[in-house]
Amino acid sequence: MQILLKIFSSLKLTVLLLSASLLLIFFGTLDQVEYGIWETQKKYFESFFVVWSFPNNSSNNTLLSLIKIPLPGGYLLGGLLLINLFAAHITRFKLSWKKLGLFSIHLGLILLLISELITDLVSEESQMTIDEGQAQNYSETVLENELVLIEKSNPDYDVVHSISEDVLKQRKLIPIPNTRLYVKALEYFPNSNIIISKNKDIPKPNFVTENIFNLQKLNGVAKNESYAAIPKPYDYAVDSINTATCYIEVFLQSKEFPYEVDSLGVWLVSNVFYTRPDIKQVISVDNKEYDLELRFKRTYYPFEITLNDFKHDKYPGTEIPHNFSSAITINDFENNTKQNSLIYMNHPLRYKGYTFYQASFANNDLTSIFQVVKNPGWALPYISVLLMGLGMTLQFSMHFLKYLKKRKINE
Amino acid sequence: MLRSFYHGPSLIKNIFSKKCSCLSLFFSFFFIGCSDQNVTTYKLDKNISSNISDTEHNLNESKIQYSIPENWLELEPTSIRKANFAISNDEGSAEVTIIVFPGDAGGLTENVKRWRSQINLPSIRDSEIGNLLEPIIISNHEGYFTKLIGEDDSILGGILPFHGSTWFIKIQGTTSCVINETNRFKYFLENFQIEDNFH
Repeated sequence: MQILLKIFSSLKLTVLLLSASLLLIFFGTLDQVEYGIWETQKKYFESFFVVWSFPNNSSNNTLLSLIKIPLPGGYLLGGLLLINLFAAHITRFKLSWKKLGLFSIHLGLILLLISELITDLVSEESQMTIDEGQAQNYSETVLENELVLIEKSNPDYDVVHSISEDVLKQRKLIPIPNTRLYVKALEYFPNSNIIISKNKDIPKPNFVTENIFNLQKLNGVAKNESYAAIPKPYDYAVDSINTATCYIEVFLQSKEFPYEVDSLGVWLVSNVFYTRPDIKQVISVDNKEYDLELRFKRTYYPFEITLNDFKHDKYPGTEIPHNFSSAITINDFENNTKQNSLIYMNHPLRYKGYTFYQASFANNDLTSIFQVVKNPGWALPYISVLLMGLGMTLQFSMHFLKYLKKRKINE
Repeated sequence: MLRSFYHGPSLIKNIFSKKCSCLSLFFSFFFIGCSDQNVTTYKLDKNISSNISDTEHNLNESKIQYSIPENWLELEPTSIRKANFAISNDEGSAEVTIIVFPGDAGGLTENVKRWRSQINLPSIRDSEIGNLLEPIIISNHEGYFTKLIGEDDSILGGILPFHGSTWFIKIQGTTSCVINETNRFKYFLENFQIEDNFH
């Protein structure tokens, strides 16, 4: 135990971990060119281990492509730094007024590491797009998709059953609550080309010809329009939107034999279909109709935001912008209240745990796009920086006073 | 025909025994959340304006007017195509399709790139796409015309941003047939009218 404590409290370990952190940031930055910021963040900083390989695209040199460097991931380094700091306090530091500054700095550092972990684990980011004069009560993230079955028969509300892409990728049989329906993803392509397969000149996707299910089972646009999907490499560029597609087989549970299910067919769904109201894929069961869609993952809010006016001010006589702002009204359904607000650069709206930043605009300045962030730990970095600043001021002030005292004695 | 599912009855039993655990009366009258491991279920109040898509109604209601050359055969519109025509002659065959999407449908660049890949043309840089587009007036609005000639197949396309939606009017078919139809297709584009209730 003593040996362990000695190892973990060692200053050498601190230096080693900080050096490894530098390397992780360096190689992470290199890989960001290849994989974009989101994938790199996940691969390097939200992991325990990562292996950096020489990028394939940048050189044809096969020897270089053999280079692989294993690195500790962000979680491992952060965790070890935290243990190192705690162990150092147990073994080397004693609580005294003189060390108050140092304790404050370290407490700030611990909070910073913890707040990063909280942000990684629980924060959510998405975008809300609103046209002037329109209201919106949900945001979307183009980085994730969801399969939805929407039942609209009730005059007062729609029932939405949502299945995340992570669940779809498991290709398992999924029961839809309160219905006799089951769905199973036969294929999930994070990025793909959609083709018309009846055109003889266009090759059919391998799995349609070789496959597992027979073509007669195809339904919806895959049958009526002969649409088919061919997978292509995922595009990691920050501003790119990948065409996700999924072949979904839908099953119906038998009324007489509850342990048996019958296939209703295979539907092709894609996140590029959902914006097209002319594509309707409907499953009819028990006098109810279910719209089947793959769409960007949505987050609904208990309030809606109306965009009253979007302003894109430019410096006179130039095209250089000096301000973007959105005048909005929040209509809260829970509290039955309405309130106006102005969102502009560096002045986000914080409402019910969500922060709305002015992120972008479109459609000749008639559409405003907000980045919606939910981060329960958002205040922790501010507190930690404050603690570290306070600690440093205390520590340096004490040293300075000590020096002045010493000088006075010498004089 | 009923049949047992691959995983056998035991799995199905297991799935059946899982009960959907209602999370809460989440947002009082707004929506009610309900979730199990795989599926999240919620209700959306139809009385809230955001839950009704205006674009959906607008797009479906847009009426179009056009006159077609004698050699074009008009086919029944489908769920996706507002109109479509078939052309067949000694030169080969082609089809003309009219499709509308809400928003920019991925943008000009992406759509031209997609069309190029459909006729097996090599991919080009985004910056080069602009050279393939020429301005054209369709239905009194500024649009774009592109001519993509492939070895076997070719595409001529009109792309029209129109009040928050984008119209794609395209002829695709064997290269000789498409080239033969170029003037007629351009004439068709210039005379194509969309009912405009936005002014």
